[in-house]
Amino acid sequence: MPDMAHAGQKLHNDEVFDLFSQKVLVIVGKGGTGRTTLARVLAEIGTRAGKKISVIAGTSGTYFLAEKHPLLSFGSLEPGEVLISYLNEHGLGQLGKRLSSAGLAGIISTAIPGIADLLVLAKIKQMEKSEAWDLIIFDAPASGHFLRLIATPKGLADIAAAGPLQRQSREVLELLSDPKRLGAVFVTLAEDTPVKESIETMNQLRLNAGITSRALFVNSLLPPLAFKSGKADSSSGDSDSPFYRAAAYTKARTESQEKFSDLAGKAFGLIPIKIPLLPTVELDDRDINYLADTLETKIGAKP
Amino acid sequence: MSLDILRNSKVIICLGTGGVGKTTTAAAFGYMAAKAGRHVCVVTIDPARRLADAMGITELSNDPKKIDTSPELDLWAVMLDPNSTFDELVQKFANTPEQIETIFHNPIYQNLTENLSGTQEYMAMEKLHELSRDPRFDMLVVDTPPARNAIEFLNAPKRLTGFLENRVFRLLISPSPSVFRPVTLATRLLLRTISKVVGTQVVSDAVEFFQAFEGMEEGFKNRAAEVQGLLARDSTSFVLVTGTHKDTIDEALFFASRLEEFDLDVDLVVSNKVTPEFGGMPESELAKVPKEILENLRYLVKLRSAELEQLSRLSAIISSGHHILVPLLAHDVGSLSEIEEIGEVLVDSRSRYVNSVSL
Repeated sequence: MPDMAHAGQKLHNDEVFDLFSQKVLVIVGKGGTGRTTLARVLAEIGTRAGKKISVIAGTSGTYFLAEKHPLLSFGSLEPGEVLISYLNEHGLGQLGKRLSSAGLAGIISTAIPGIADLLVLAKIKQMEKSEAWDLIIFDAPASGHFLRLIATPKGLADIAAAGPLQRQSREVLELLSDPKRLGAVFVTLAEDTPVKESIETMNQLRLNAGITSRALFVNSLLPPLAFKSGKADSSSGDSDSPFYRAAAYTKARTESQEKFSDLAGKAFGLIPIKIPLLPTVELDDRDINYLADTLETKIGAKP
Repeated sequence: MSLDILRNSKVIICLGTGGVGKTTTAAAFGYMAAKAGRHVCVVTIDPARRLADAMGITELSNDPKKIDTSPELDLWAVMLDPNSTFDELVQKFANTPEQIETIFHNPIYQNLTENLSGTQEYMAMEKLHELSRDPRFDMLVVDTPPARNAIEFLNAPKRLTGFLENRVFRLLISPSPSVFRPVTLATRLLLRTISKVVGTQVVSDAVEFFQAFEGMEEGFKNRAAEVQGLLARDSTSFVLVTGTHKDTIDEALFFASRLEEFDLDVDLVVSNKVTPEFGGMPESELAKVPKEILENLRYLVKLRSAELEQLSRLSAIISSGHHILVPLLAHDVGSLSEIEEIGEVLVDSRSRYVNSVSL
């Protein structure tokens, strides 16, 4: 299988090569595409380059356990929790003691859809201003509110209308639309649905919030058969043999992967960065190191 | 037909995280049930475009459409519109046309379906309730929304009715403030603070919303109870759909434990996208096979065995023989013929995963 057959096509790969040049990377992808794996790998590559990194999960609860590293910290910003603490900080905690802040948060987040997500982004913005980190990797919630918020102009306008949040939302918008400060990093599988949804999301983020997509990772790629060119037909041997049935399977899968990977790359105007499927279902630190070795040169993070 | 649930169930509910092939599985069950002579409707929310096209349901609608497959199959599909389902409920439970108007125009109501987690699930269950009385169908296969976590689905009715009964605003709209004077002072202060933080509009919208819903909570509550009753019937089956990755297995195990808390059982687990079995590595051929072909099979065997090891964890929630492995097809699933292909795999006894036998 030829590597990256993009000859003659102009792709802005220069942007990929300074992936860590902006301070905030927002990882965007459907559930199950490997956002968390990518966050771990990027964090590993970043710390190798000596960067102080904070990885922020958009959901509460336990995040991955990784090797303790002095340059690396983990946190979570779950929208509901962020909204409750915001309300508490603004005096509603005291007053609303008997009337749970959680109930109040439910009403407020329904009345102003996206308010909680805006507050999450406002926290990210604060972190961006801080000297404590060189890089913030935000493992954004799979879909739903977050993308709806930043992907629709209405979502942002609605919130901006709500009093004291106006300044917050203006500053968040500035951050989102500044490619020097923030970039989206997409991760997808090389299949029809995830690729098409990624393309749609990428376009919405760009058109409605001015978010630049900096990199496109295509995850879980079955390694192609390592034939030298001209020898590719050796996969059509005895069709009953497990060896040749497996080869035919791999050939069909990898061709399909290549097709969807190309489709995504063209739509994004980026060279897809390929993450191989490892023969395991749970990645340990060694696997993450291996993936970091594999991807390091492709994102240009060598010190 | 080797799957009991296709014969005996009236309702099959497919549960699982996003991206594991839930809609495909639901459609494939529907197809096989119709093939067995059942009158089937596949109920889905937000299917992937290609799959929706394959089933011929290109737009939101609460009216089932017949799927364009062989004429002897009575197979229908519907893509739920949670908003209009909610509208219908409001129309049913409201007392006056003015009440309906006020609710429909209220911004909080307009945002509810999209933004209050659990509302879409509630509406799916509501539609299920309605379709379960539709004489055209004797089987419904439900593809549940990709809930952020399992709790949403089972708690959905409670979440919505809880929201409608919210204490804060019940106090605000109390018609006799004098009785609650001390509370009213506190809540008035609360209101002022809320206004300061999020704007006065929110407060007036909220007050209007809860005033308009006054008296309708009972209707919603009773309805929710009926839906829960439908879920608890013996003829309702729960199918957990997973992939092969650790996190989808974790979710499935968690889901099963939540079902158990609600006294509901998992009837079947379907694990999709499993690396196929190619039939071992014949010694006789090892010597003459090119290196890359050998490496490829070795890799796939290793991958499959890692997947099976993960999947064997599911034996904790399902008795042997109730776990179906669907191999990853060499091509993507999307057309009707591919749904049929998956359907045939589901009922094929060779797809049964018996944990003690390592394949």
